[in-house]
Amino acid sequence: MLLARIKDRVAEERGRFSTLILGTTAAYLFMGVAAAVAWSATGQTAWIEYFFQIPGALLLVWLAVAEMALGIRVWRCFGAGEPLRRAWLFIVCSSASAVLGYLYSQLLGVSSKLNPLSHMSNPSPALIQRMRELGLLLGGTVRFAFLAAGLSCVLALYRRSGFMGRLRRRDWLLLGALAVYLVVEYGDVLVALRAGTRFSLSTILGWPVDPLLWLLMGEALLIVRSVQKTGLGWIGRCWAAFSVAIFLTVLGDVGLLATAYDYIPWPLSAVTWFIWMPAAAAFALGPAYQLEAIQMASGELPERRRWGNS
Amino acid sequence: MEPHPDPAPARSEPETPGGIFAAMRQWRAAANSAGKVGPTLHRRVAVELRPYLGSSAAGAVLDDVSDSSANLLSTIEPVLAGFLGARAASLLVSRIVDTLIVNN
Repeated sequence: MLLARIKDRVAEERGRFSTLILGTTAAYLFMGVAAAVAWSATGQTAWIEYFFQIPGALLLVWLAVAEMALGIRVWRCFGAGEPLRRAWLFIVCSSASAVLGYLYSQLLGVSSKLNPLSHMSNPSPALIQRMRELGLLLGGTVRFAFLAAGLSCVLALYRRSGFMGRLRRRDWLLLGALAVYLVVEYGDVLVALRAGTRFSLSTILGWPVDPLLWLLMGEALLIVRSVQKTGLGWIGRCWAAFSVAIFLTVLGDVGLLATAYDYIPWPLSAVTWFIWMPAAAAFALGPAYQLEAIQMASGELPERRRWGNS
Repeated sequence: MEPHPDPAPARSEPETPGGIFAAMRQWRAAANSAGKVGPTLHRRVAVELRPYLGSSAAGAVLDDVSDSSANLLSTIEPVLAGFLGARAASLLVSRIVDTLIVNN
């Protein structure tokens, strides 16, 4: 009986991109935890460095590629003039920026065996640094600007359909706290500018990242409230995945700052490195769930088990 | 005297406007009792829409449908098309119609 149900469940999940994304990310996280345990037991940082430089970097690139490829498939499911076509175009541009961002920052912008620049006879550290900065710009400002535009189209559709939720008091408190964080951060920049500090172009181009993350956080909260209002269906799950991805990205961003200011002691701060993997997985799950909903509606994929059915 | 036999056989379709309305009422009652229009149909459509839109949204969409179900398809299809695309929405609605109305 139990075996039959497991078999049914496995058959149901076969061929679904969401299952592949979740399974692969879980396997990598398990490997990451094993590397962290080995590092803790032996005291050799090579374990964790190797994990993040090779398998971890490859996972991030793969998830971004999956997000982009699935996003293109979803975009093609919407005809000209349909409200979500524009949203998915922006999301595809966002994921394409993420792919390039990860390629530059995780592969070309680090000294690892995966980096073809490292195999040159005399690799220039300045060139590698440039690659990293370009990757952070593409994967930061550019990516989040496109994503914010895409999610605003989604919210417009929720509003038009009458399913738009409302922010609650704790949502406003969270946004307020993040706004205070932004004001403090930009206050520091202003003080540094007045003191005559000269910032590099790549640093300046990275300044919009945090305001964009604040905007995305607001959109993510509104999406969550809207999805809650609908009662969470297969369609809502797609947008909820994007919201989770944004929450994790903001958490990772705050974690980076907290580590930089020594608010999180070493080695606890290493935990924040793992956040980017589930965040990237949640970004890839968004188009995966949307595509599955479209395929189930079209009869191309068997419907998932419904609530109340055993 | 033998009663005169009715030259015309009994006709199923009504001849007068009153007859047409009566037949429509009869058909609607039969369809309603069979769950092909009205609240019973709306409930069953809601069950089909729930996995896609969510339970509350499915109920909210069907609140706008008249008791006669005349605007059922024109109400649910645009909402589904907005979130799933016109092609997928059309296929889903066709399947719901086939399952709940035609083959029922």
